[in-house]
Amino acid sequence: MLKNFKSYITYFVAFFVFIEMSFSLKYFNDYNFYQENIIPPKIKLEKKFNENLLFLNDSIQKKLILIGASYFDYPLGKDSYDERFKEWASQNEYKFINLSQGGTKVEDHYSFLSKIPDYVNNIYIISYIPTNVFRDYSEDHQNTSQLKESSPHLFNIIKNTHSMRFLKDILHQVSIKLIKQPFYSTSTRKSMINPGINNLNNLNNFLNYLNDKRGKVILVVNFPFNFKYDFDEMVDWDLYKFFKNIDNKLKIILTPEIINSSESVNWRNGHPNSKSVKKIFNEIVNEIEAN
Amino acid sequence: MIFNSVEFLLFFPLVFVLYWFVFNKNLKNQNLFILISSYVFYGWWDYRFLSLIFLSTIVDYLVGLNIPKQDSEKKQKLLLWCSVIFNLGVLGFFKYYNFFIESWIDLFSSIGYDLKSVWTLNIILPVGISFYTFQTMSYTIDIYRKKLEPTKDFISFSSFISFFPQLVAGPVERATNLLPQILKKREFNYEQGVQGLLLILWGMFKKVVIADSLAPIVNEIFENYENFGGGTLWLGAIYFSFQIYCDFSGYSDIAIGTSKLLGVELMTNFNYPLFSRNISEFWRRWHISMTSWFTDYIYYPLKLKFRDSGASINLLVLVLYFFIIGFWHGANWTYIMFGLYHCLFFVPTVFYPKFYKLKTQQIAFNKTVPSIKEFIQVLITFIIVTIGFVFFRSETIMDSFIYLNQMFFEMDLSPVPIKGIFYILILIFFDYRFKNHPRKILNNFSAIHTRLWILLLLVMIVVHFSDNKPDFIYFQF
Repeated sequence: MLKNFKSYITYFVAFFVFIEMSFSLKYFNDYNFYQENIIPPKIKLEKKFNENLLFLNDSIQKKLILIGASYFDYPLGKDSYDERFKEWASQNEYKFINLSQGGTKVEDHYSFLSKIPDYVNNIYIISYIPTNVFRDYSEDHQNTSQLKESSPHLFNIIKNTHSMRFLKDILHQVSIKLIKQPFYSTSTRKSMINPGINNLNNLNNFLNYLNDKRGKVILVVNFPFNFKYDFDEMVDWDLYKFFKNIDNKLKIILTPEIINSSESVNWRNGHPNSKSVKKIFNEIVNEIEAN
Repeated sequence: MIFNSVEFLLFFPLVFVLYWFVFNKNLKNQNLFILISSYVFYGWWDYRFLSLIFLSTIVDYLVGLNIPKQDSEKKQKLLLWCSVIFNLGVLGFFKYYNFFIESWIDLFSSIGYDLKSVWTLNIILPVGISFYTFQTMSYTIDIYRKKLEPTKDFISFSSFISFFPQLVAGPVERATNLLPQILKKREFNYEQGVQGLLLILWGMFKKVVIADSLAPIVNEIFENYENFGGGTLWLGAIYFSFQIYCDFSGYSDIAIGTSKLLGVELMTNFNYPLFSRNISEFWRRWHISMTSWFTDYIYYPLKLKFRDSGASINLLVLVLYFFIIGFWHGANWTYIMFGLYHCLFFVPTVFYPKFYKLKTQQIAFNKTVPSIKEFIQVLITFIIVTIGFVFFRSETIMDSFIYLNQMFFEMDLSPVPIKGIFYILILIFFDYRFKNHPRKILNNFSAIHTRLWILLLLVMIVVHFSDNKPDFIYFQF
């Protein structure tokens, strides 16, 4: 009996050690080899911005400007937003300027947006990821960060292990299937269901800023693509309600309304896959061509 | 359908259950079910090309039946040639047609004639055509050589040709090994089934964990080789050697394991070639089914025919043999160069047949670690093989020469992709433990160790399994 118990404990411990080991190996970042990864995303964005400064200052040239984080620049080869917009822009005599950069924050997008000379023939396509936005902006996030720093070390270590993140992703999937909501007590759930009044105010300020732009602005609100959402459930989510009740000239595309069938690059990752990118790209083009 | 896909994960258990519980009454049912499953498996990729397999099956079935009925050697030979010309004709059209046309255009343009490429066609290469073509040919050749009796059972013969575990990437089975098993009712054997599952697990590990993890690093280095120093290029070539070994031997292990679960034993295709002590031993351990096919059906017959001729004719036979091995891999000069490069190391055997000492046992046989001599021999062989794989992996001959030039003459070890080293060490660790029992992995391990290794392999496969998985490299051949 004791021997069996010891064996089970051994398998259990080994299981977690193996998971941790496997993920550490899979996500091992070869900074030495992929030296591009050492450069901070904001610096990369700044470089892109400076490279396009001449075109951005051109008041005559029609421009299509893409701004956002990794949901816009995920490497999908010829299926990527970059390739699709590049082709569309060349066919329609627009200068395509891609200022999307994985790893950048909303504050970076805001700062570079405010540096772009605002002309009436500019089209801005802005990606907005709710789960990132609130993490970047919220006071709660700062409070949580402080809390993390002051909380017991072991708890933090365990919480940030690959095994725990893996478990959390499984629980999200199970939860969304069973109760049609992300798993309890997670930032994903909070950002979509109950972001809080402060966060929504921040978001509202950002939307007002976009609304004042002279050019055309299309805001793509990228809900994580690894879930299939239930609209009957979503109408009660604060974030969804907030976007549905906005009354200004902004064109807002809520991605679940375009594609809602767990079409992400994989079940753990919220980035759109080729199919999602194609559908959302078509929707954006329809919006551009509507006027 | 590919082995490392969710579709196969659903397909095979269903086939297994139906095969042993519904269609196990008699041989006819078993083979009919194998045939249907194989056509579904292949048709999942592109059902249009099932017609090619079917046509090849009919031709070789009829030729096989009629060869023994002929009253003269001449007529038998004529029938055999019909089969060979048909099979090689189909293969030549789908795999080599554009290569020949483009080579002619290049040749003419080099002497100033600009030919328009109106003759090139947009041809899709049917998956596995190089594998099943040679399998069907082995059947008719063996009947002609009176090594095999033709079968009248069309369903069983069709199952032999299209047997799905090895249909698209081998092992290239001999009719003398596979057909007798297909013609006999299979009984489930628990031990065989367990070994089959372990081989599938090990094959998946090699493909999903090792090969697919090395692939992006190898691609980055080979596609941008001009940006890297010699040290990094050496690492890229070494990584590719491990990638292709794990990719292809992984597929073979899964194929052999899957067959075992269906009660069929396929031939061993890879016998730990990484631990070869000379190049001759390497070729006896690497892609055994293909090299032995060419050895038995081309090299030995030619050698026998010209046994009294001089060394120059023997040298020509050797060059032809390696030319064919290289060209079999694909319609590109890089593959031909790969074959001819290996040929160089066999030139001494034309003059001194015992130039390479025949090694039948693995390194460190009955020992824990290899001797220093063995270690050095393995290292030298590996370096020779790795250089050869540069030709194999490069896009063009010119790329391969520039790559090799930088490898040897621009020694600069920066940047170093460290990640791949971890995967290689894991592979060497396991391969070294398994080397003495190629078809019975995890043999002689205690129960708890076996379970822990299985758990480790399973966890690593699940963690590394990706939706954006690269295809098996040998699918393109």
